Amino acid sequence: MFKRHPLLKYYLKKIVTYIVTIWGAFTIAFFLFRLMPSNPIDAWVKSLERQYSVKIDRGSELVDYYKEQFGLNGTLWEQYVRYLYNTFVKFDLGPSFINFPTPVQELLLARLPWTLALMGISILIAWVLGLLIGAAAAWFRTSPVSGWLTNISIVLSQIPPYLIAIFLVLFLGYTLKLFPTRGAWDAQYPVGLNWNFIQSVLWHSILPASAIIITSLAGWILSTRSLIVTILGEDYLMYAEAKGLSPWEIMTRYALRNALLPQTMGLALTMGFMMSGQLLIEMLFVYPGLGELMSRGIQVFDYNTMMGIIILSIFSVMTASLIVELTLPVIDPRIRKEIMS
Amino acid sequence: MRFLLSCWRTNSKFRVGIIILAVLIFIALIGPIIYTPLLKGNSPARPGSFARWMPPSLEHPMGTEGLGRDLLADYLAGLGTSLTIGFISGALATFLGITVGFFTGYKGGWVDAILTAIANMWMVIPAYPVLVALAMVMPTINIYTMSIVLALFSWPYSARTIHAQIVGMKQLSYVEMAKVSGQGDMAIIFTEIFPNLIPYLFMGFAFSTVGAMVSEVGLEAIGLGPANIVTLGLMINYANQWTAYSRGLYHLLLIPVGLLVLIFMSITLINRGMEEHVNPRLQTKTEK
Repeated sequence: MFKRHPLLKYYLKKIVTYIVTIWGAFTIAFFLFRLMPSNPIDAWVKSLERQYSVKIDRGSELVDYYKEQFGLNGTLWEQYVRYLYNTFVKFDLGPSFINFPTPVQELLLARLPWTLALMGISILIAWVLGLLIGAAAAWFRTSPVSGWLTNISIVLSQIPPYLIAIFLVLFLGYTLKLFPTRGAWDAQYPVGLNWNFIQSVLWHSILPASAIIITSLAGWILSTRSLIVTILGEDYLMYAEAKGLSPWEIMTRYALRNALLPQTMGLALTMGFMMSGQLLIEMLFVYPGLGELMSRGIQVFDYNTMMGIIILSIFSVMTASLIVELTLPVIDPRIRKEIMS
Repeated sequence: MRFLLSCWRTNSKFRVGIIILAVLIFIALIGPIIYTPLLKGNSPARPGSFARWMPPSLEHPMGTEGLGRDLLADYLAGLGTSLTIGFISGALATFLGITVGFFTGYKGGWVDAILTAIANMWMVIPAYPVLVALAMVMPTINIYTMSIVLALFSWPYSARTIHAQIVGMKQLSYVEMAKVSGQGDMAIIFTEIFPNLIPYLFMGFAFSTVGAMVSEVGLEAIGLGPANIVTLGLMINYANQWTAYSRGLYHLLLIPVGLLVLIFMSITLINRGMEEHVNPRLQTKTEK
């Protein structure tokens, strides 16, 4: 059957890899955390002891009760099987410790829109601008402006966004007091769909968003430029030019079109990584997204919340790359041909 | 070595990068000579060695900070540790990556499938939460443990690059020739494949070094790293804690951030220079 349907075999292989990789990453992350010499209950008991200088019996019923609530009872293997079952069959990530007894999935859902909106929109803006500027830099590649643009992008692309963010906070936030530097909206406005609130949300997102846009823009400019420079050297473009097509037609119909495919794939993968990629930005701006949730969870060693964020991140990265791999043969005839042969 | 020399001769980005990096390494190396007499036998990381917030003087050329440590010593020691962590971790990650990438790329088959799957699983786990948790359970982590932990999370990237290169190279005619002529696997790897991989090894090393430093500084700057080692990231965190902005003490922030930007910039320029040397089409001054 697979001999006659190589495409089917390709799809099946990709889907199996998807499932196995998610399971494997889940397992590695689970054991990494459980093997660390601390857990939320012990950490909490210890801090209570220090705070009130009392001795708490580690084997007491109360401690046992909470260990059971957090799924920390039984052997490591039992804990693993139970957690695996709860996560993938019941979609239950367990109660959170930082906000007991709210389930982790509810906390994640409340934070997700903030992260998605801030990161998603910033990444998209950077991508569109990067594609356009990169194409222009490739077309005018002999001009000094393009050279300088490329050099500046090379330097910017490797500077981590949080360093840029610190600079923005320093100059635009504190010194010039142009933009707010903490949170996602002004507390004086009620949360909801009213103009004041929306305006305040946009206003607060300017600094964190520009930190992300500046660094990722540089990366997109560089990759688009090198893709298009390579395409511009091809013979069929010489032919197109000789045929008398205008530079605009050559750019849009030949060069940009060819560069669009790898760049769209890159965009999909970047979107997948956005859950975990910019956690530090959120922490720095105290933005109510997943990153800020993680920084709170980690301080009390909240397994469930940390695992929840990690699972969400693994899932989004893998799903993004699965979508890329499944659509590639549909839109790119070269890859379809390769699979068929 | 010959590869690096020819990069130096032909590429100006590479030259600028190397010069900046060499100056930084030199400053870090002679750092102890400068700050040891200033500290009067204290270690740079020890809080309360001197009075707090002393203005610059002959004894403390840059003054002291909010924990009573000499600022100049902080920066010199921090530059040293940050570079050390970056280089050790970069070297480790590259070594692990080469070993796995070589082995899987050359052998192929089941071993390849399993190791590649494991590398992919590692890669999708976000490193920050795990690193932060590790830093919390190991409060007295030293720079070597820290480098190892950082390397553990970046090796899959270099493994993947090397793997892709080897798979491509394996099919080249001169490798096929060597196989037909009866050379052993090891001989082929070291005489036919390895020399051609050298540029990619250097690029992988530069990439991992930057990656390790970015993670390390990220953790420290947000205040989640170990506080017993002075690094540039920790200095950024202190600058934040001491509200350097509102007090107008901009240098507290600008110096460590500036040093880091210089390090990242120099390594990126070196990397880009090597890339352009291997693939001349990327050059900014391409003529038609």
